[in-house]
Amino acid sequence: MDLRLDPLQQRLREAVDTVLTGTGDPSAQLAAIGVPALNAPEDLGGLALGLAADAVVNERLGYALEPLGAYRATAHALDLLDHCPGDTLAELYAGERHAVVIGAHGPATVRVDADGRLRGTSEPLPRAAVALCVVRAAGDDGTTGWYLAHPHTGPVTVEPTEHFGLPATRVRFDGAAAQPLTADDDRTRRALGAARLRQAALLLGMADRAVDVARAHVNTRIQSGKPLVERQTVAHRLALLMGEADGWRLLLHRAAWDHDRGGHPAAAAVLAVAAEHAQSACRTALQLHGVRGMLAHSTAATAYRLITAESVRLGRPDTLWLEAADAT
Amino acid sequence: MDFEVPPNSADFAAEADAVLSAPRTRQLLQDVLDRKDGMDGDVRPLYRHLGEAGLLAPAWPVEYGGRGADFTATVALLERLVAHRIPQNLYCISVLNVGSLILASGSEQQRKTLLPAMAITDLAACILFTEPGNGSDLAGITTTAVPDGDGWVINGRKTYNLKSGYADLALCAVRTDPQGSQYQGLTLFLVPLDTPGVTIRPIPSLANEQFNDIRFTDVRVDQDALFGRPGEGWSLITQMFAAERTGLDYYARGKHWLDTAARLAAADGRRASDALRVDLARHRARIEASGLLSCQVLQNLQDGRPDIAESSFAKWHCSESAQRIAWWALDAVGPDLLDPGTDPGAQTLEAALREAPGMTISGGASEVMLDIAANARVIGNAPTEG
Repeated sequence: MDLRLDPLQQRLREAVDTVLTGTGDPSAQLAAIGVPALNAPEDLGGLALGLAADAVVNERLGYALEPLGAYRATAHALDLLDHCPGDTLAELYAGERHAVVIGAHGPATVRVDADGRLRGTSEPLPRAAVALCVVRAAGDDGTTGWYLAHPHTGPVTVEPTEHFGLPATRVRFDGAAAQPLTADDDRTRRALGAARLRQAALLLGMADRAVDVARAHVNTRIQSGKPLVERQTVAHRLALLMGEADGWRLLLHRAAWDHDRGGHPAAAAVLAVAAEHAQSACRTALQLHGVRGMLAHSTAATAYRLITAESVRLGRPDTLWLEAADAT
Repeated sequence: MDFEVPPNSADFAAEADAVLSAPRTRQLLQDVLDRKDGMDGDVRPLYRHLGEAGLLAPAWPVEYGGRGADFTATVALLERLVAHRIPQNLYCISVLNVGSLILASGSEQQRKTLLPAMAITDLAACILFTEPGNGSDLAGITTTAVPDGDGWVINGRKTYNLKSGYADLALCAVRTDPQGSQYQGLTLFLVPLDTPGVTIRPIPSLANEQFNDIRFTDVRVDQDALFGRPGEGWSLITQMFAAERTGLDYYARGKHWLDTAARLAAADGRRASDALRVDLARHRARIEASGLLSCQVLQNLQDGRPDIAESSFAKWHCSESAQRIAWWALDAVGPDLLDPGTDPGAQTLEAALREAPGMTISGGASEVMLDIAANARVIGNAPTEG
């Protein structure tokens, strides 16, 4: 047993941090270090490095407050596909365009008719140049299945929108032709588990950033003649968040490690703890900033906005806990 | 990261299970649980039996009575001791705390003579730091040791100590330089508790295991009772705290209590409410995180990288997790838990309810643990952020 980051994880961490200090398009810059293909199956030309590596990437994206949800959606989609046209894969791996996954984390809002045509509108999705859509759609008999649709081959509208003040996308299907996918329940479950663990990693990274922002503030903000951090109620709250994060991070990495070995870790519980921890971290960070944190473009406010949106994107913590309870 | 338990630790765990399930072990355990001595129940005959089977110090080097295994063997042992209802406090204090300090910082003579005996419980040690007026504020220690010929004379009082009545030797913190600073004047001694002038008086406790009040009246010890050099006590104590506060025993107890409460709550085919099942899942996730934090501390200790802040937080995390589980067990099982009858699981949880409040006090109060963590990680060295 070795609970330190391994050399590959260390190198990835440093590489992602370096890339994110650049000023260009983060997706293209990450593509330059192979990140979109990192966890993709070998059958699809990916590196198949596993979730243990992907967890590190997503933690650092979170810490940089660069959620890049399109990257995780693409990874989730590729986990569900048997094949993908070469030119589309090239675009995905270059970070030029992305995949979206629709209807995976709540009721299916898109319907499929007897002719295999999709109708309906997606939930808010990460802002992306959409190359393909993997859709969970409900048939007339109420059962759901997975379908693949290409936005350029039918009546599909990709609309930029905002979600809690953040850039987002909605995809509307008006009778688009769709191809049924053959992913079985086990594969679907594993893909969902992996998606949840990537999201948990993102949220823990974001939480770390929120706490660091608060730490920086309370060490320099003087109130009543001394730094805020010298008040035990302030210092203890941040110490708790930092220590709790250490525990949740180990839990996340163990789940990723287990997943990579074919196990079925409790991904719902890991995402639930990460989401709740991140919510607590960003709310505490705002509180400790006082009114400065409420300024629209403060880092604390940005973390609050991002964490709030990302903490429920793949399901609310209370529903995740119910699922975890059923699995216990 | 690699979460694989090495094969030799897995083999050790299976061996421990076999020994702990054996009839002889169960008989010796029953003798402890019957409390025939009118106190905690003397666990030493049981420990000797386990020590002779080579179970008690798996991570110590072979030449000092161990097996040369890594920390995962110690984790496996603690989990199994708890699951088999073997009382662990004397083991943790004597082998994991005092023994590990001797291993890390004792003289070669102390290692050679003391550790093999401690590994089979021919010798048991306790820790005497806390005093009536100072609690866990060790900078305020008033017990003194004064040079006297080729030895020292100790006078003073220690209190609220566990297992002193079953120990042969006490790791005792005393003040040897009243003129020095609060920290520089402290020295550690390994005091044989059968030395004339030592008196031990039990103090009943809310939990199953009683406290003790120890008085030293003109207790004369030889030079070889010194542990470390005079004035070196504070740094040794800090080092020991980093090794003591792994949280491992709290984690192991919390995990066992959670398993037990879940089993009792589901007895007779009852289906628990959604709220209770969600609580169970939450406690499960948190106690697993506690276990991993504890393993992280143990790995760093094994690699020679003790970190008092990391250890302090692990102790905080594990003790809080276990305490919450003990209190949750009352909700999960219901008021019948207060009259546990003869069911071993219910008895364990009833005892846990009485032990739980002390978990966040003994071995370093939660507030102190958070202070240490905050000083190391929050105060100063702030990142530059906008």
